[in-house]
Order: sequence, then C-alpha cells, then structure tokens
Amino acid sequence: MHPERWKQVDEVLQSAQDRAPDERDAFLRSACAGDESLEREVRSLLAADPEAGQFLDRPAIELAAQSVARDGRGDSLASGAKLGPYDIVGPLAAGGMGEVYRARDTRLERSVAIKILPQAFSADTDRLRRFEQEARLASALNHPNIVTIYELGQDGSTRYIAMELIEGKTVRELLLEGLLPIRRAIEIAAQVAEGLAKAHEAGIAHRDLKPGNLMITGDGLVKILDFGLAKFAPPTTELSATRNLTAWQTQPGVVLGTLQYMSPEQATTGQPDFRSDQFSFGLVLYEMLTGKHPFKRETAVETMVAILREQAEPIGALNPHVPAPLCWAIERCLAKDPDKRYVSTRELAREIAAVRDRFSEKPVQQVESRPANMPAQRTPFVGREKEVASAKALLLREDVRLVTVTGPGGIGKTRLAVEVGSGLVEQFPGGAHFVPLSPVNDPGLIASVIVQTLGIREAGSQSPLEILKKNLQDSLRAPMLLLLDNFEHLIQAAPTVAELLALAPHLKILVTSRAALHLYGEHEFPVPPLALPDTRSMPSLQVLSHYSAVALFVQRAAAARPDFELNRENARAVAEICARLDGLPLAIELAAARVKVLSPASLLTRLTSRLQLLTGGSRDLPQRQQTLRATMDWSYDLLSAGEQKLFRRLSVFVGGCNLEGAEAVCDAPGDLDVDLLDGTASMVDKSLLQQVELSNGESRFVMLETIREYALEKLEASGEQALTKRAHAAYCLVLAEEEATEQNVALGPEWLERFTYEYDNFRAALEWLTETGDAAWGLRLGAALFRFWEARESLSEGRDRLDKLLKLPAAAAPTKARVRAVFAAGVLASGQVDYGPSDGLLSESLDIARQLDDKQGAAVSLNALGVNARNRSDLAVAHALFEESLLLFRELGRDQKAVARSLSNLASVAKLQGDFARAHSLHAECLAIFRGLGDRTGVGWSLNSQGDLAREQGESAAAQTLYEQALAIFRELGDRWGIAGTLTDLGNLAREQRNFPLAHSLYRESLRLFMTLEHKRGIARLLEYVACSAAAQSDAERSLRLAGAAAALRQNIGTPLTPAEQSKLEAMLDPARQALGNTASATVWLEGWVMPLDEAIQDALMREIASPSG
Amino acid sequence: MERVAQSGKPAASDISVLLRAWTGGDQGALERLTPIVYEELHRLARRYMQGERPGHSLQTTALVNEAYTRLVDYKRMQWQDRAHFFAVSAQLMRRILVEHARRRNLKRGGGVQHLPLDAAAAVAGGGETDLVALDDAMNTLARIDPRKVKVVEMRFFGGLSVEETAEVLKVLAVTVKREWKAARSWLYRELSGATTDPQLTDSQQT
Repeated sequence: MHPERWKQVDEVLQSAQDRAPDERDAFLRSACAGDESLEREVRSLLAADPEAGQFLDRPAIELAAQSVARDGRGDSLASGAKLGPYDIVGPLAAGGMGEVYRARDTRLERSVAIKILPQAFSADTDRLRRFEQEARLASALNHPNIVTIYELGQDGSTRYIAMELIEGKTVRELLLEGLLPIRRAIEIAAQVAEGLAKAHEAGIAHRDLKPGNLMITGDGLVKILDFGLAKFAPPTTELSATRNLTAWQTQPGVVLGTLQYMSPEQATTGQPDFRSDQFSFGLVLYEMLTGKHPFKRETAVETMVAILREQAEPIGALNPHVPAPLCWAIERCLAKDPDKRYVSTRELAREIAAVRDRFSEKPVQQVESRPANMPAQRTPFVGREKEVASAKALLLREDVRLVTVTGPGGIGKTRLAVEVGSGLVEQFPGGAHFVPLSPVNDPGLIASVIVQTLGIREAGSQSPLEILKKNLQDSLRAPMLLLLDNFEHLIQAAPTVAELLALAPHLKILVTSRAALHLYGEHEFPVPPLALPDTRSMPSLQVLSHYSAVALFVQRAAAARPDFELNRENARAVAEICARLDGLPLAIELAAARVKVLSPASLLTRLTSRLQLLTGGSRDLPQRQQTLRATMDWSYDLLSAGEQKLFRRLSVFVGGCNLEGAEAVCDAPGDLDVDLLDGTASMVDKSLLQQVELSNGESRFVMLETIREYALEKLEASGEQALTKRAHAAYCLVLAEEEATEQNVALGPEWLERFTYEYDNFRAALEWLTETGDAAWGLRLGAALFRFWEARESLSEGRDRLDKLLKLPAAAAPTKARVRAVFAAGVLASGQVDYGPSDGLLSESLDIARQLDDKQGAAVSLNALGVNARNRSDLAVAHALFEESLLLFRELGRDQKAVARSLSNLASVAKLQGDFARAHSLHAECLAIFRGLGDRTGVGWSLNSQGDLAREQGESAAAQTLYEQALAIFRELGDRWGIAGTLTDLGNLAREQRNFPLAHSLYRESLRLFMTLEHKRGIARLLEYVACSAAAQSDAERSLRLAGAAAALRQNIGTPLTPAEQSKLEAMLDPARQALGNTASATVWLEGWVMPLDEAIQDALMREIASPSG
Repeated sequence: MERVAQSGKPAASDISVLLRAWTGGDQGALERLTPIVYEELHRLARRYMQGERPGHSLQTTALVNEAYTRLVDYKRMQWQDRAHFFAVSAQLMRRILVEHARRRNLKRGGGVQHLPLDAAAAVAGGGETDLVALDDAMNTLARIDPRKVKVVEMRFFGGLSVEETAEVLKVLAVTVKREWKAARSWLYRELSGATTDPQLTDSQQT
C-alpha cells in the first residue's frame, strides 16, 4: 500500500478506535464517504482489534523466556538415560509429534528411534486411546516403504513410540540441496506410491504427507514416516493456519496437516480420505521435479486460496525433461475434485512404476546413428588369431568389465584392439565405439571426446562428464563397448573410467595403453610379439609363411613391390629379419617397406649392423623398445636430408594433414630441399606416413603415434621446434579464419566436416599458443573456432578454452581481438542457457568495443544481449537492445546484411509482443534489403518469416503464397535447410486447414531432408507435428507414441521445447489423451519413448490412416 | 527487588558502556552484549521452570521488570540523552531477541527457513508469538508507517512504558496510545495471514 493511502486509512482507523464500538459504524460511513475500499480496509483492521486480545501484551523478553522454558522441558532426555527397555543414545530430531531420539533396545540389541509424545498428549486419555489404535493399525502395515512401529511404551508419565531407526535424509533435505535428478525423483515417487497404495488398501490414510515425512536411506530405500499419526499432532508453530484454523484445532479428529501440502478438501470440509494423500503426493512430486511448490504464497490465506482455486503451472514449463505421462499423473493427483483423482492408489502406483521402468530403458542406439565406429583397416589383419580369440573371450566374460591391452609402442595394441572390437559388434547392440585419445592432451577432456564420439549433444551448462554419465545411466540396457585407444598419457583420468563402469552396468571398456590403469577389476592383456620361426632349424616355406611375423613381412613387402614373394632364396633372410626385429609389427613393417630398393639379404645386413651398433647403447630401455628405436633410426637415416626435414616437421601435426597443410607448415621458411609430393610419397612407401583417402576424395597424411613421437624428438633435437610449431599455429589460424566465414557456416555439413578433420590440429595450436602466452594469435584462433564450437555443440570445451586464453596476462588489454573472444564466450554461454555469465561476458565485449569505438563489435554484442533477453521473454529489453544494435549497423553502413538481420530480430520481438503491423513493416524493410543485396537465401528466409507472421494472424492464403515463394527460392538454390524448414511450415499450414494427406506428404519430404542433414532437432520437431496431425485425425495411439519418441529424442539431444511450445504441443495432443484415458495414454507414450528412433521415423513416414490421397 | 548484579555477571554500568559503544558504531559491542541478554533470558526461563507458572501473575511481572532493569538500568542512567538511549536499547533488544527466536526456529525446524506462513497459528491460537514473523511484519509496516514501528519496538521489545515511549518520540502519551493500538491491529491482522484489501491496492496502482 502506498504510504499516502495508508495515512488516510490510519487516520480513520484511529478515530474509529477512539470511539465506542457502537458509534463506529456511523462514523465509518460518514468518514469514508463512499470510498468502499477504504471502509473495507478500516473495518478489517477494526475486526482484528478485539481478537488481538493479549497480543503483544507481555514484553518480548518474557515471551522469549517462556519459549526457552518450554524447550527446556523437551530435551530433558540426556544420552545414557533409560526409558523402559531402551537406552537413549542421543537426540535425532524434533518434529510435530515430539522429540525423537536414537536409542538401543536392550532386549533385542538393536538400534531404534524413540519418539517422546508431548506431555499434553498423555493427559488426554481419549485422544491417547485413539492415537494408540491408529498407531497399531499403521504398525500392522508391514511394508518396506513404510516405517515400522515396534511398540507404544510408557515409562512413568512419559509415553513414547519405539520404531524402526532410519538413517538417511528426508526429501525436504534433498530439496534444500537443489533439484533432484529426474531418475532419482521418479524412483522416490514410485516407492512412495507403493507404500501409499499398500496403506490405502488397508484403509489407512496418511493425512500429512510432505517432504519432511519421506526419508531416503543410504541404499536408496524410501520410508514414509508418521503414517496416520498426523491428526493427533498438537498444534505447533510448524503447523500453519489462518484464523479459521483456530476453530479447527479444538475440534477433535480434524486434521491439521501442514498447510502447504493440504488437499483442497482438507482445507475446507475437513473430511479427507485416501485421495487427499494423492493430492499431497502430487504436490511433493511436483516440488521434487520442479524445485517449486505450485501453491506456496506469501501468506497462509493466499496459499489456501491457491490450493483451493488455482491451477498449478504446467510441469513441462518448469522442467521440460519430465516425461509427459509423469506430468499427467501429477496433474491428475492435483485435481481439485477428489473424484477426478485416482480411484485407487494402486493404479497410480502402477502408472508411476511404468514410467520408472520405461524411463531407464532408453537404449543407446536411439542416440546413435552409428552404433559402431570401429575404424576400417587399410590392410588385412595378419596373424594373432589366438590372441584375438582369447581377448574376445576375456571381454565377453560376465565378470570382466575392463580389459587393458598393454605393450610397448609398435607392438600392435591398437590394431589388435580394433580387431577385437570389430569382431564383437554383434555382441554389443548398444554400440562398439572407437575413441582415439592420442590427440587429447588434457585428461579432463576425455569425457568430452567420448561424448562427441557417441554423438551425444551437449545440453545446458552440464559438464560433458555429467552428460556422459546421464546418458550411460539413462540409456543402458543394451550392452555397449568403448574402445579407448592410446590411454597411456592420460593415466590420471583412470578414475573417470572406473566411475563410468560403476555407473553403467552394461558398459564394458577396452583400453590400449603402454601401461596398465591399475584400477580395481582391470584385466591386463599384454600383447606378445608376433610369432617367430626358429631360424636355427629352418622350416619349409609352407610352414614359414604361417608364422605371423613372416606373413606380415611378406604382406607389407608385396605392397611395396607387387612382385615380391617368399622363396627359397630370401626365406632365411626374411625369417632372420623378423627375428632380429623381435617380431615387432611396426619394425617389421618399416623394414618390409624397404624391399622396394633392397633385397631381403642386403636389408638384413644393414639392419644387423644397425642393431648391433645400438645394443651397446642405452641399456635402460627394454630390449624390444631398443629394437624398435633402432629400426626407426635406421629408417630415418635412410631418408635424404630433405626428407628428414620434412619427416620431423610433419610431427607437429596432430591427427594428420593434407598436402596444402604440409607445405604451409613444413616449408614455411622456404628451406625444404625436397619436393613435397615426392617427399610424402617416399615416406608413405617407407611406412613412416600413412595415406588416408577421405570421403571427399582428399588425401590426408597421418603418422602412427609411435612414429610421430619419434619424429617429434628429432624435431626437438634439430632446434626447429619453436619455429615449426609457430608455423603450424599460423597455418591453423589462417585456415580457421578463412574457413569460419559466414557463407561456409551457412552451407553446413561440408564446412563442418573439413573443420572436424583439422580439429585436432586446431586444438594443438590453441594449446601451444596458450602455453607460450601468445594472446594475440590465441584470441584470434579462439574467436575463429567459435562458430565451429557452436555448430558442433562443443560448448563447454569452447568456453573452457576461451576462458584460458582470456586469462593470459597478454590478453588483458582492451583490443578488438579480446572483444571477439569475449563475445564468442558469451554466445557459447548463451547456447548453454547460462544467461547470467553470458550477459556478463557480452556486456564486457560491449564495453570494450565502445571504448575502442569498435562499432561492429558493439553492434554484435548488443544483438547477442538482445537474443538473451528475448529468450528470457524480456521483450521490452530485447526490443531496446535490437534497436540499438540496428542503429549501429545502420551507422556502420557497410554490412547491410546485418541491418536486415537486426530488422528480422526486431520483427520477431514485435510478433511476440503481438504488434503485427510493426512486424510486417520491419519484415518488409528486411526483405527489401536482401533483395537489394541479391542475397537469395536472405530473401528466402525473410519470406518464410513473413509467412509465419501471416499464419499467426490467421491469414492462411497469404501464408501459403509466402511459404511457396520461399520454397521456390530455396529449391533453386539447393538450400536443403531452407527447403526442409519451409516444407515443415507448409505442412503445418495444411494441417491447420485439416488437409491431412497434404500435410503428411509435406512432412515426409521434410523429415527425409532433416534425416540427410542429420538435424536431430528437425527430426524431433517433425515427429511432434506428425503426432499432432494424428491426434487431430483421432489416431490417438500413434499420436502419443510419436510424441513419446520425439520426447526421447529431445531428451537425448538436450534440446527441450520452450514452455510455450510445450503447452502448445500438450494442447494439440489433448484429444488423443482424452480418447485413450490416462493410463492407456501413458502406456502408449512410453512405448514411443523406448522405441528405436529408426522405427519411430518409419512410423512417422509410412503409416498414415487410409484416406484419399492428396 | 534485587538490583545488585550477581558475581560473575556484568554490572549495569558495563552494559551502558557496551551500549554506548554500539551506538557509536562498534559492531563488536553487539556481539558482547548478546550473551548478556541471553543469560538474562535463561535466568528468567529457569525461574519459570522452577514452578513459577508463566502467565500474568504479579510475580512474573516483577521478574520481567527486574530483567529489564538488570539489562538496561534506565532510571540510573546518567546519560545526557536519555531518550536516545531508550531508542537504542529497544532496537538492540529487538535485534537480539529476534535473532534468538530465529535460531530456535532453525533448531526446531531442522534448518528450515522461516516462512511467514508458519507464524499465524501461534498468533491466532493465543500461544507464543513468533518473534521472527513479527519482525518481518514490522519491517513491512515500516515501509508505510515507520513511527508505529518505533512505538512497537519500544513498548514490546524495549519494555518501555507509554510515558517513556512518548518521551523518546517527543509526542504526547495519548498519541503513543493511539498509535500502539492501531499498530497492534495492523500487525495482528498481518500475522494472522489476512491480506490488505486487494481493491485498495489496485486503486493505488491505477
């Protein structure tokens, strides 16, 4: 109330209070002179006056002392005190029913909880008798989810209840710690429902179900406390009430539940039955899932009014991850009319149990478009059949979860592991995934790499590890295999491996590493060298060629020189070479590659001298490693000086390079004395480099990790390392800045693919720049990679890396580079819906840009801030920010496209504000600019947006024309994104006009396009639209099944619907729900939820109820 | 009436010094004062528990008066600004007692945050007044009528008489009485959970 208004009220009030009660009426009428609200207010205050009674009559200190005195009586039981057969150990808690102690039952030697009944209780014999009766009934329930009451006892004048001692946390405490993970909430709900169902079947209602009465034990068992006792609880300050409740307290048998969790009938008629518990249960569940009590208001009266009259905000709007059937069940529990709730709580419990079972059943294939990604091998696998078989058998053993393939570099760990993994694809329907770790330097990134390999999208501000855990947890029923290749340098991340295994019982992990991980339950599988013939008793050619080592040599030699074959002349030399090389596959490969120019005999002579030379060398290396080194030295020495230079410089590439990159980096100083093509070809011949053909026809050159390490050592020794790494960073920077152009980003997959190939190089360059503190280049590279991070959804990694760069001392200066990098970090944060930090970063970039008079920087920052505001539905702020940004872009004058986009953003806000006229004129201006620029894509999208606007206004014909114009342009341009998006819009238009056959054919085409684009959000959207269509055509089952499948997909890719979209969808699906009823709806929806994505898509594509084709 | 401080307890003069330090901005003084008030509180409580039933016996009144006298011996105060001192000590009692109540609520509610909702039953039931809820309500009232809050602070928390309150506020005793009555009605209504007439609020907004 305004102080001025209060002054008026106060004046009249005081004058009235001065008067005798019987004079007040007349006085008020004249004093208020028809100001009704004034009169009402004064009257309500006057009414409070006599009731106030002794209110504030006694000084505060007396009241305080009295409370202390009362409390003092409560904790009179010290530890060590005896109560009947119980020894008090210590206090546990205090609740509405009195003090609770931990105690020891001396007869049974068990720990119990003792609840002391308040003194007032014992005095009232009638109440006590009824209480005991109720407690006995409740104690007879005997259900794992209900706390067991052992006995009601008495010691002197003290009465107590002995019950099961439960150690754990209450749901109330869990709620205070923050939002519960959905799985956990569902698990708790299912158990509470079980307990309630059992009690209700026995005819006992709880009547005070609330978070404080639900206890979770250490092993996850849920226990309901104080069953049926609530109505005997004495009033305390914890129990809330209004003035009306004063009366209730005195009436026997009337429940005085905790007001916030009361059902409407509890608050009014006072005749609650078991369905009242359903309401309270719904409230608790609502709070667990949303972190919010739907009816809690400032005052008790408001809360009661809300419980009686208001509808709870839809759960989906507060937590979009809650599966729909659960929302429906809660909705039904929260029905104001008890008759609209569940007829039996058993039915409710069954529904919740179904959600629980299905929710965790989500198989991983759904996430995965490629269940197995074992790398194809360029050469046939030679030998080691026995090892492969035994490794497979080991991995398949039920008690084996983690197998680590160990051995020195070059022994062939990766090759063996891939062979094992590829052979087990069938046994791991959840997927067999190859995760190469050699490009990763930071043990903290391992989760991020796995997440990307699995194709899981990062969601919100969760860390990749959290996302990974959630996915493994949520999705595992089907066995899944992860092959973590080259783990040795990430040994610190071993606990992560253990954690993942502990979390997902159906997961197995195969690791290759030079050293074991030393985890509990790890099975080490040391790779032996290839089988060697005994050279003293030369076996026959036939037998010889079956030794793995010899077979490998022959195979590789034949690749180098097609006419090579094992014969009587060279057999001994070959066998000797293999033996000299200790059966090390990599060494044998390097040697065999030389057959092109050297006969096996001369190869043997040279090798032998080399190996002898080295045996006198470093003794600390194990024999095999020495052999490998010597072989590599030998191989290196055979290169020309120019080739050597190229070879060692190539080591700065991580994850390989193409010819262009090799040239830019290795010949940066222009001193490479060898032709690049010849040089690389020669090294491929010598097996020092591998040539890989990409799907786009480009060749890439990759070094095996062992060889790369060797080359890097040589580079270091040559003193060229810093220079080469700088050249590498420069190359990456130029590439990233050139590639990350708007046009490329708009074109989509091809650009992404190119970037993906180079990503390990970008990472290496960023790390090097960060390490050497080169802020200028680092910030530029970070800003250039931003679009890639955004497109690839590597939001956390991008933020993390930008953060490190921004903290470099040299990066502190307010430069344009800093503006770009800070801006990038802000947009990535926004993508994670982490608006607080995002706004902070964007404000910083805005500030610096203004300082520098960098209008472009300021304009994009303002625009991004505007997007944040719009997404938060802060439309006025969004409007102002977009306006300001637009103004700057106009001033700049050089980027008309940006002007057009700002206009489009403004139009979107205008549309949301319902200002259609303004939205129209903004769109028109935007369209004119795109036309003027000849930007066809821009024109297409602008027309499309205008179509949306027309549709929103109900102008179907106009919308149709606009969409069709947009579609024609996109088709002409071959812009698949535009085509798919516009087809969807046209489909929606047709659906709204109830032309379902047309809608469906449009949806199908669009869905197929989204599939080729691998655009999962688009696929989810289409599934939803087809579901809406089905609902409108009374195909209820299909509708809800598809809705369930779409929800599952959204869950997996982490892009929930916005609250507005969610409620729109719910409304569209409503006819289907009505048709099927709650339970059947839930069943069908859950069916869709666990359906493999492919099947759901087929369902959406193929099956349409018979109708005339259109 | 026992006026001599018992051994081991701070004498009234010590308290005056601390009070003066507190008004001078020394926050540490509040920390040192708090246990003194608590001790007095517990002494009172012990007396109740020894059989002196809480209620409106003369005995209780005497006890309370004694407590206040021990804590803030206004009558003997040789302070040049007696009124100012009254105001300060009432404010201090409010802070300490509310804090005390807040801690007790915490203990009893197992770490549950205080909600204004919980206060109503107690008020309506005529049992104990929740000082925390009262404090919240007073803060609300202060936004529209700070003087009434001062009156409640002095009368209820400071234990001052109507006359003493009038002296502090430099108004007539009859004004204090009227203000006290109106404030009590307002606070009572607030604590029992009823709301302001929404129309009254609306009419202010338009």
